[in-house]
Amino acid sequence: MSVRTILHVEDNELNRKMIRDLLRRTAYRLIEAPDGEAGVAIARGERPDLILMDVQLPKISGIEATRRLRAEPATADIPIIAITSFALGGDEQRAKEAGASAYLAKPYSPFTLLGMIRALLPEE
Amino acid sequence: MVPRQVELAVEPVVPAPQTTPGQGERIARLLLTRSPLGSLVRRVAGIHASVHSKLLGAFFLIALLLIAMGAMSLRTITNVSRQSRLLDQARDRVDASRQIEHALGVQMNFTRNALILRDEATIESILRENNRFHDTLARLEGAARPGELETIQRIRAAQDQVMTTVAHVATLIRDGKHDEAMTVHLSEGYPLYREIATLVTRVVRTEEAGMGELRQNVESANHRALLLMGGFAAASIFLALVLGFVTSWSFILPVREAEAFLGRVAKGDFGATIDVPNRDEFGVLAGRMNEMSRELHHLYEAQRRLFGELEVRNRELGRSVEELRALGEVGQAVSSSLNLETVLTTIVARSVQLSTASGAGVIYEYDDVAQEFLLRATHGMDAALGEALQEAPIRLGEGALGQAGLTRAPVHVADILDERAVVLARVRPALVQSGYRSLLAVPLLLDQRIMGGLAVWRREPGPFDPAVVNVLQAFATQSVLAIQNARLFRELDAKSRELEAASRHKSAFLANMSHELRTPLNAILGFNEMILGDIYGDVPADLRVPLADIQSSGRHLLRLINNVLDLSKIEAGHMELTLGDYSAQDTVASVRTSLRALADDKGLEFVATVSEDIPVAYGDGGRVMQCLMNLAGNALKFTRQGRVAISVERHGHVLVYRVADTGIGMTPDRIESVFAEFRQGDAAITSEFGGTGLGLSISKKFVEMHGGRIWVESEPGKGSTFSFSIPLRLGEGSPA
Repeated sequence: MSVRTILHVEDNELNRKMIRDLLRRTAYRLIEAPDGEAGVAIARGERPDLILMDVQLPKISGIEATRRLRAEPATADIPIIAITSFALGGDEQRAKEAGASAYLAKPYSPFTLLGMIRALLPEE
Repeated sequence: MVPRQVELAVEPVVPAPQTTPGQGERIARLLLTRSPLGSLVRRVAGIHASVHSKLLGAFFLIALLLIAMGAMSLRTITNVSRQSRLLDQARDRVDASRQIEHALGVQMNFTRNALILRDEATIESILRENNRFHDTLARLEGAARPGELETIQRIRAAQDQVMTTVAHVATLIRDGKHDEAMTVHLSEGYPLYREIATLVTRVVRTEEAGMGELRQNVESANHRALLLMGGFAAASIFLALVLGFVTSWSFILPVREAEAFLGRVAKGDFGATIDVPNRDEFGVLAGRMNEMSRELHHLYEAQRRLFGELEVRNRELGRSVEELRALGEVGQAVSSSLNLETVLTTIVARSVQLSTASGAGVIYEYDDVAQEFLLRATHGMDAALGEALQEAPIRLGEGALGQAGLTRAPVHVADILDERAVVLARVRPALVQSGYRSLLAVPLLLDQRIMGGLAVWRREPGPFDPAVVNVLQAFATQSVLAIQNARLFRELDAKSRELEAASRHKSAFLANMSHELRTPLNAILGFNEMILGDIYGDVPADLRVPLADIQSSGRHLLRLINNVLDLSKIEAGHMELTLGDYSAQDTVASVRTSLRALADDKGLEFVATVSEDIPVAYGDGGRVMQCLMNLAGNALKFTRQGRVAISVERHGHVLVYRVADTGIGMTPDRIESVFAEFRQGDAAITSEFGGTGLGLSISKKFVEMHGGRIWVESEPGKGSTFSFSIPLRLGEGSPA
């Protein structure tokens, strides 16, 4: 079985590093994007097996990016975990409406996230 | 409003039955006016005596007349009977004369018989007859009238001679001297008989003549009596009629007068007087009636005066009501409308209506900086005047309005046509052309500060009624309020727009800050957790505790951020409930799971009881959990030993969540402020137990957003029980 690829779309370098550290010892391959537009572009090119999508992003929001990916057949079926900083009520609702498969609020426990990833995408 | 017409009620008068005067009535009237009877009636009426006495007098007069008539008839009867008696006597005398005549004849016959028969018996018969003759003559003599006595005496003398002759003849016969006796009888006796017969006949004739006279006398006496009686009867009837007429009319006239008088009074002619000549009971009655009439007149006058006053008061009242109504309307306009133009238009319209039937009015607002009056609202204005007014603002001191502003007092212009009148020169022609003759300008003042002016124009010249000036001043006050309100509203509007913008900025800032805070916090907590999770290799034992402290502090900071954010959102009105089905059992279980470690650490008993019959609830399950978490967290925080018990009960459509502890408890004054923001027991408590003091106030808000209620029962040293009730299913059934 081939290596599973996870795309992490997140503008904050430290948070990206944290996920890099979390997944370093796993079998997942991690690719990253710093904003919504880049996220959508990379997802189109790389066709990852799972996307971790931050909601508050520069350029286009995670919600908009999710909507666009869902609109394209090539990326429509990729599981997406939406991560929000819970700034405004209804984030979870909007993420689900846009097509997110799961939802996680910041600050999250890295181990909880890992559990969710494993549930959606077995390592092997 | 039109003043109510008050009418003095006058009872409808029932018209007195009008009797058409009959024949008798007409005659009576004619008699009263055209004959002396009229004055007689008045004179009788004027007699100072009672009705009773007058009637008695009249009847007495008639009775007197009757008595007189009786006496007269009695006299007549006596007279007639005397005449009859005389007649009878005359007849008796005639009878006696006739008897004498007869006796004479018998005597002569006997004498002749004696001469022939020559017997004694016959001679005695002659003598007897002679005696009887004598008796009869004596009777006649007794009844004779003086004139007859002479004749009777002559008869007696002749008779005496006859007696002598007869005695002689008788003697001769007895003696047988019949021839001599014959001769004596023929020579002496016979002539005597003839003489006596002649005398008797004379007497009879005289008597008969007397009887005729007497008979005539009787007849004329009868005739006279008849005339007298007739006259008396006629006079009596006449007198009785006159008396009756006079007496009755002396009573009828005052009664009629009284009737007419009462009729006039009944028709409302109070003060009418009755004038009767009577000095009897009717006179007294008339006097009383006049008194009554005067009294009625006074009463009526008093009433009419009162009525007049009442009407005046009524008109005043109507006007006051009208003014009050106008004031009320204006007041309502001021309080209900924030549109200054609407309010000022109402005020100026009502001002004009109250001052004049066909006028116009304006309201100006004063610009303090430019010292000018600016036109704000008009009423009843025609185009030319409107243009003249729009041309330029009015400067302070200019024209009537400017003067009113300058002097802070109303300014009258009684006649606009007057060249000296204080009227704006550029407006005067338009005013005159529109037919306005007088004006009133009232300043709008707020504590002697000019706010504007109100002016009303009338087509009638002359000063304004002080009442109107008062009302217009009241309107001016209302106008000031309206202008003030409008200015305040403008300010408020601007402020609220600013506030709205500030609020929007705040929300955006909070959202942003939340994100900005969470992102590094996420990294801090995440890295720390990964270190503790040995992602970076084994952690030395002595580093574990400080790493756990970092984790705990980070979580606390997160809670703080969350609470502040929640509260801000609630206050900005941006907090919305995320509604859905949730399970009360799961909620309690989650809270218990989350906090069990803390309870275990403090060695507290931590129990949860949930009624089994609670069905799936509907609401914001996350927020309900947050509330319960807050309460339970606090309970564990403030309890040093003992237990903390969570329970949920269902009461119909309502769920009641309870958290009871055996903690430090609260005093009553603390209970009061426990749900306020940033409150905890005191500084010492904060330092011992930590916390932000926001949890309870946020919980209260969430409960209230569910339409529920939160409360606490507590006693210092014994513990507290916090409860909140929310609807089992939000939007269904009765409120909590």
